[in-house]
Amino acid sequence: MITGEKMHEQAYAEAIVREIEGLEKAKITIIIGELQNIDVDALRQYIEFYLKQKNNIEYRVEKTLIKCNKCNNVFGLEKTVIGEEEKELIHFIPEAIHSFIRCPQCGSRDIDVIRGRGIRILVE
Amino acid sequence: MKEKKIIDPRIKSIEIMLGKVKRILPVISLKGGVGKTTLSVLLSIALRENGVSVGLLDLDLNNPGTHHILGINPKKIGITEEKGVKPYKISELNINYATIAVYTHDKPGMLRGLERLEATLELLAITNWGQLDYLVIDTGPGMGDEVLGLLKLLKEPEPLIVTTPSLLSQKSTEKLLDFLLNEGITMYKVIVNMHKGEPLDDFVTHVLPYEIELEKQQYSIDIIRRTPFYREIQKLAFSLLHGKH
Repeated sequence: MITGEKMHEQAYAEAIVREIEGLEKAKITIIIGELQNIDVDALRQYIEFYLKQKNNIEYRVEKTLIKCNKCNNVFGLEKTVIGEEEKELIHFIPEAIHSFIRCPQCGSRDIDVIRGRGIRILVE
Repeated sequence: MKEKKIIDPRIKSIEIMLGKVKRILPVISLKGGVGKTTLSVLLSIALRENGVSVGLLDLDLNNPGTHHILGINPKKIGITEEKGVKPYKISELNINYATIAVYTHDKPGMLRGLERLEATLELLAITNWGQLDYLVIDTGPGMGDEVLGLLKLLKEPEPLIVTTPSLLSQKSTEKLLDFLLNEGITMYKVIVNMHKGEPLDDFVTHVLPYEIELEKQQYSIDIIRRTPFYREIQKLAFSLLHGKH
């Protein structure tokens, strides 16, 4: 059971704003891992609410790539079956995915997330 | 050419989330099975008995165990968001609690090196502890990425190093102390658990006696609280509250 209104996004927005404050002239790209399942519109609204300056901010969602350490299969989220409740848990801690998926080819749980997690700010 | 820079906002978020926590006590050891989880839970209770506010974080990513001692089913802990995720309030103990097991439903999800650091960053970046006097952090055995990352992220960590009287455990502790001192971490305590009267090293600051109740499959916190073992935990809590480093 999850209660609250996109407050997870709010926490990230506050941290992002603190990092980019004073960088008015920079081009900012916020790269969001697909596994974070962040509501990009909510994040954008929180950032616009907190940020005093006007920046050119681009939001980019990075697709997930997962590698199986047993059979070397590389696959994306579309090859997996994850329930809605599990998706919510992964939204908070992307590494929780290890508890809920197996390699679609060999069934192993020994996997590595190659990309598609975390949030990064690219400043140019 | 313009210079590019990549910033991880989770680091700032961790600074914000832990900003109002006065003292942080990671419970660590190089060896497993020395009693870190038991100590983490009981010390949290003993600190709380003194009227200070206490948080307990289970950061043993591959094998969280505090919920077993506390008798809590992590699947039944609701996730409440309030500028991040609010820790779960254990009402009987009045302790704020967070564990990785809430997010994994305590299913096996063995993480390799860097993913352990990533999970640590995520958990610390989203858990909003608010005002807190003490945060006790249970960790997994060894100095994996999560423990190294944690010690690096915290401004003034006060590790509690748990060991046993066994020679192997003592040698591990010497190595760990050597590492910590080299990193400038000096506010630590060394706690020997399962002590049966053996001679002790100079660096030992607290001794916890062997406790038969802890050998039982399902021991009760209420029973443990009446044992000599727990009285020593209370002394440790007292020294943390009033002692000098």
